[in-house]
Amino acid sequence: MKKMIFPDIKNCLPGLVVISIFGLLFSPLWADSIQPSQLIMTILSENTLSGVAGDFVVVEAQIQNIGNEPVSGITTYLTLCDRENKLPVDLEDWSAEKGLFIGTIEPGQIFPLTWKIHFVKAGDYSLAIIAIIETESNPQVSSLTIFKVSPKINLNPGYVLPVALGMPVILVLFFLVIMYYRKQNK
Amino acid sequence: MILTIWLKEIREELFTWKSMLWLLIVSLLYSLTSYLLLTNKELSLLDQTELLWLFSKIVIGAAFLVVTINCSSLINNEFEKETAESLFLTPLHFSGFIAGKILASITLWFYIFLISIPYIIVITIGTNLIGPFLLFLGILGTIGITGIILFITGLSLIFRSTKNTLTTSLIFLFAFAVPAMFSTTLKINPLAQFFAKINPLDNIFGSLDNVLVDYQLSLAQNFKFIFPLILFCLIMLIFLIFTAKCTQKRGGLK
Amino acid sequence: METCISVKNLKKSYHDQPALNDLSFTVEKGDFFGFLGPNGAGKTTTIRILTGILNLDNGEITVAGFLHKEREKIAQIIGVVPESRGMYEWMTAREYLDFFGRLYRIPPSKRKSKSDSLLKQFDLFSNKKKIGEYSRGMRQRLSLAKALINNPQILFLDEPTLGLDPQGQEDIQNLLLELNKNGITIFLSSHLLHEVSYLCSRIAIINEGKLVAEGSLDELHQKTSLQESYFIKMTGNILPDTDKTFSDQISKISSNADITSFVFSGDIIQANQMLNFLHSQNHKILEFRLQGSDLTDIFLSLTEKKRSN
Repeated sequence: MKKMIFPDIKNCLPGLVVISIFGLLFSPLWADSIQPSQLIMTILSENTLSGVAGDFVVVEAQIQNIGNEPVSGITTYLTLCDRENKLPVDLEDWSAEKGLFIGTIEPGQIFPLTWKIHFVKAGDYSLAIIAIIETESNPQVSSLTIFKVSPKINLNPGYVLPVALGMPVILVLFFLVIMYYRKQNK
Repeated sequence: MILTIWLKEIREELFTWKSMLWLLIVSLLYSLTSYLLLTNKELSLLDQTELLWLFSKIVIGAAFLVVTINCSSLINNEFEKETAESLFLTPLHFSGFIAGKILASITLWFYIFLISIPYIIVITIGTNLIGPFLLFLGILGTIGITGIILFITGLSLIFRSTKNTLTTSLIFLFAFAVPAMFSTTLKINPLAQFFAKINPLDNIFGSLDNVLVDYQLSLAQNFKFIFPLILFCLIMLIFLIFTAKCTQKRGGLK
Repeated sequence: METCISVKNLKKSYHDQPALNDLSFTVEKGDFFGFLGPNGAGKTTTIRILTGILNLDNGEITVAGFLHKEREKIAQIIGVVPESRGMYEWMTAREYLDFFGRLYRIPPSKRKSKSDSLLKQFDLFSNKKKIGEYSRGMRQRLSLAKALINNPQILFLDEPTLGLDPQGQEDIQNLLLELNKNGITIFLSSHLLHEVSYLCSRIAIINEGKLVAEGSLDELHQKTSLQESYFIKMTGNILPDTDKTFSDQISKISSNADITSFVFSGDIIQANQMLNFLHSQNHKILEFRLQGSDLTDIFLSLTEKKRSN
C-alpha cells in the first residue's frame, strides 16, 4: 500500500529533468502565440456598463505599452457578442462601430480609449477591445467584460396610449351622436 | 348648386355606416402604428424624424386608398341607380355636378387628415416639427389627392361602371405607390429617376423627407416637389375636362 | 292659341341608326298633349331632347319660347317625370323635395311652404319613412310632386302611371286633369291608350321616328280608313261555323252564362249578313248598335300592327 501511494522518486527523476528542459526550450514559442508582451488593453468602465435599452453609455478603456520598444500603427475597435443568442452584434446599430487609430505608443505610455455606445436591445453581452498592429500578425485582445442591458418597459411613451385608445372611441361616439341627431330630426 | 350637390354627397357618402367604418379603421390603423412606433423595443429607439417619416407614409397611403375607393363610385352610382336623369333635368350644369362630387371626395381626405392630427402631435412631442410637418402634409396631401380624384372622375365618365373604374384606379394607385416605397438605391437608373419625378407619391414623400430630415421648411425649398404635383393636377384636370366634354357631346346619360 | 312647344324637322341618330327622322309637331299652351308610339318609336328620345337631356342632330326646337341650347332656362320652367325611376332611397320625401328645390334655386321659406303643400296634395305629408320603404304608388306620387316643385309651366310625363294599380292610375289621372285645368301644359307619353284617349285633348302618334298623325281623337279617326264596327249581344255561344266565315271580323268576344257579346267590324251589309247567320243558328239578338273606332284601333291602324283579341 505504501509503495502504491508513494512511488519510487529515484526512478522518476530522469524523466522529470527531460520534461523540464523541453518546457524551458519551447516556452517562448507558446508565450508568443498566447500573450505578446508589449500592449495591454484594459476596460476601465466594466463595472458601470450595465444599463437599460435606449441608454447611451461611454466605454472607457486604456491601452498601455509595457514593452521596451515603441509600437506603431495600432487600430483599436470594440467587439460585442450576444451571449443569449450566441451571435455577434452589428455595432453600427449600437453606434459604436468606429475604430480608433493610434500612431505610436512609446514604452510605458498609456493611451486612453473611449467609445459612446447606444444600448439598442436588451440582453446579456460580452465586450472586448481588439487592437490590430501594423507590424504584427496577431491581434491583441483585452479581457472580456460582461454586462447586461435591461429591457425598456414603457406602456405609455409620449402619452401615446390615451390617443391610441381615445381617438377610435371619440370617433365612435361622434358617429353615434350624428346618427342620434339625424334620427331625432326625422 | 355645387354646394347642394356637395352637401348631398356628404350626407349620402360620408355620414353613413360604411364611411364611418372606414374612418374608424383608419383611426385604428393610426393607433396601432403610433403605438408600435413608440413602444416597440427596437423602433422606439429610432430618431423622431424617422418615426414621423414612417407615420406620414401611413397617413398618405391610407388616404389615397380610401379616397380612391370612395371616388370610384361617386359618379357611377348616379347612373347605376338611375338618379342622374332627375339631376340633369334641373338647371344644374354638368360641371356643377362634377365639381360637387370632387369636393365631396376632397372632404373625405380632410376627415382622414383631421383624424391623423392627434397622432402626429403625440409622435412629435419634444420636437419643433409639428407645425411645418402638418402644414406640408396638408398642402402636399391636398394637391396629390386632388390630382387622383380628378383622374378617377375622368375614368368614371369613360367607364360608367363602378367596378371598372375602381379596378383601373387601384392599378394606377399601386403603380404609383410601389415605386415610391423603393429605397434610393433602386432609383439610380435614369428611367426610375424620371418616374420618381412625375410620380405624385414620390414627390409627396420626397418633400416630407426634405422637411423632416434636411430641415428645409420653406415652400421655395420644396418647390421642386410641389411643382410636379401641381403639374400632375393640371394634367388630370385637362383629362377630366376632355372626358366631360365627350360625355356631354354624346348626350349626358347615354 | 299660343304655341308652347314647337318641333321642326327634328333628327337624332344613335351610332348612325336614326331614332328620329324629320319629326315635326306643335303643342299649344294649355294643351293636354298625348304622345304615342310603339316601343322604339322615339318617344323617350323626343322627351329627352325637349327637356335638354340629349342633344339633337338637326332641326329646331322651342320650348316656351326658349331655344334648345338655352337648357338652363328651359329647365327652370318645366317639370319632368322621367322614364328612369331612380330616387335617393336614403332620403325622406321632405328631404327629396327640399334637395330639388335647392337645385331650382328656390328660396328656403318658399321651398318649405311649397314642399308642405305638395306633400299634403300627394298625401305624403305625415309619412316619415325613407323613400326606400315606399310603395310604387308613393314613389310615383313623389316623382310628380318633385316635378311640380318649381311651379312649372309645362309638365313632361313619361309613362307616369306605369306599374300602378287601377286606383293608383285613377288618382294620378285625376291629379293631372286638375293640373291641366289650372293652366299647366302637359306633354304625356304613355302606352296606356285608354289613359291617353281619356286625358288628352290632342294626340300625336309616331312610328320609327316619324310623325304618323297629329290631332284630336276625332281628327285622327277621320285620318284613318277604319271600317265601321257594331256591338252585338246575343243568347248562346258562337257556333264553330262562325269562326270560319266571319272570324276575321269578330273581336272582343265576351261570354257570360248563356249570353255572348262581341264587336263586328264591317259595313252595314256585312253586319246584316252576320245577323241573318245568327238568326239561322237560332240565336236571339239582344243588342245591336253602331260602335265608333277607339284609339287602340286608330293606333294599331296607323302603326300597322295586328290587333290581338
